[in-house]
Amino acid sequence: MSDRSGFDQFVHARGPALARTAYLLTGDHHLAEDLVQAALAKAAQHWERIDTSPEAYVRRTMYHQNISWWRRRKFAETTLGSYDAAAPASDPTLRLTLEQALRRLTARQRTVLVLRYFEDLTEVQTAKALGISSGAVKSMSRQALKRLRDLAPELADLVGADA
Amino acid sequence: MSTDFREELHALADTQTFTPDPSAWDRGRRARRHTRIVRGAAAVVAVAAIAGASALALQPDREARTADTEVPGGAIPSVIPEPGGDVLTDLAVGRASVAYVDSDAQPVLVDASTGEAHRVELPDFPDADSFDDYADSRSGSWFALSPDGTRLAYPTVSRMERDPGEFSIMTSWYRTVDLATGESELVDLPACGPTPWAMTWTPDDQISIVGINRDAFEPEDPGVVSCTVDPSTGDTSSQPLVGVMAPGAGISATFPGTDLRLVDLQKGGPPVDEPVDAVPFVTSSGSDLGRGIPDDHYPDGSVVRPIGWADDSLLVAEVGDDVVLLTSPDRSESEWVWRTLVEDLPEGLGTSIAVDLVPDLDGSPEQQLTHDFSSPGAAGAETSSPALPVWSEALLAVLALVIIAVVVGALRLLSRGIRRRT
Repeated sequence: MSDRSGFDQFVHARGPALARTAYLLTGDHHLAEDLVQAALAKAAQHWERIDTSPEAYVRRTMYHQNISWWRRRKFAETTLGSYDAAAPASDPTLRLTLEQALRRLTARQRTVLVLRYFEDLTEVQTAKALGISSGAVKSMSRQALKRLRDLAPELADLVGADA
Repeated sequence: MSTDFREELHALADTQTFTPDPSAWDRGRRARRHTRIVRGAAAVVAVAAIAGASALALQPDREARTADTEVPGGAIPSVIPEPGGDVLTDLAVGRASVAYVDSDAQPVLVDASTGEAHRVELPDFPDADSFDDYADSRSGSWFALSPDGTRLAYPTVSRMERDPGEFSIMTSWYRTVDLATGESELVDLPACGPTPWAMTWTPDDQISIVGINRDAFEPEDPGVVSCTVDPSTGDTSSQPLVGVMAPGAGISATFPGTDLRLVDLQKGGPPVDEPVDAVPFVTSSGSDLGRGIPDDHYPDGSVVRPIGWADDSLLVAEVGDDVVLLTSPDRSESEWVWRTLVEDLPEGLGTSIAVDLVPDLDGSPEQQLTHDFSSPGAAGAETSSPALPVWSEALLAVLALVIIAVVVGALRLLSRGIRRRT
């Protein structure tokens, strides 16, 4: 099997799953598409040298790339007030509210939540994937959930009191 | 943690679709080649630096040394180097051969005489977010270098958050920069549209843009137009053909999507990133022409972005990663040329070339149209270089030793890594 066909097979097999994760990481369909394609192009660049799982490589690339993009995009909290203000409660469904609240987390907070509760990684695995300590994962996860509750109090039942 | 939270996350994730991008592999491999070239070049530079610094330190009479890589009048470089040194804030840098925006949205100028690339700090230059926001609509560069390489033009674009998380682009002015004096001026927007899809200069020093017709917003659904603005008077006029018009005005290099209306664009921008099999043109007679792209070099077609006209029938355009010179298809096929000027452009957000620096063709396929600035002695001019002060001889010797130490250290680390792997 040539490198190219192996890559193509991988993309077809795992692309949709990667895209789903990318959407939760970015909160934006177009950005998610870009994120997956950028990570896949990077995997193609180093294809022969990826001696672990290509999926693990692409996922790790997506986590870090997304945080890096987020920093560049300066989707920053301008003031603490606006940052922690509750999201408009006009959304008809809980899912929409969750989607909006997730978008207002920092990229790192969102990434931790996605890894812990979507990818079902342990704190240790999450810490390893992001290159941070388990303690940092724990506190970031707690902060992220608290912020979700602050942003949208109606999510309290969904996200629980704590991780 | 409630299982509902996990379920909701999965439900949200399921709203994302995935379409494989067939170019991902090619882009990755191209990046790999590029990295290898850069690494190879770095090794060559290190060796050259050692040799050069040693030679400089040991050379008995440096007064006779000449800066023989300079080209009087300037030339287009055969290779666009990575920008070096500090970001230039004094914009009186003289003539540039190439202006491009790197992938971090930093403007870079290539000195026409030396071939050196420098990042520059330009007033009100659009930031990376603005480039990102408008990526789907840019059919050309926002950073336009005049044909003679002495002036720059760009839109002063800013972002506005209309709704939370929803940004749109606003253009208040255009700016020009005179590279001889370093002075910058604001230019009123032309009547035809604020934010350009592409910006170029005409041969008579007017700024030319392609965009959505602002004047027509009120009546109803506007279309894509081209117009010019004279930066010295502010006078604007519409162009008869959309795109980058040839000096003779009989033909214009255009791009897919010029027939779109605003309502079409609200569903997405023009197909500016789609590869085409032929460079598209429109003519004053209303017919569309195409100049086929060599499929041996571009088997899947290529994205094309017109840059400017070297003469009435010779277009300079970005074709994929290259800058090429091609004859417009309104000429007889016997006249057609397709010459690659620059290969492997740096990854970036738009390139502009001083098209006057393209020499007149002499009919020979061997004619050199660009200059290899890395090759000493290839240029004609020789200018005296002042003698170095005595202290810099010692400095250069120390520098040579430091470089040798770094290279030896790197080689040792490399060999240790190889031993570990084996």
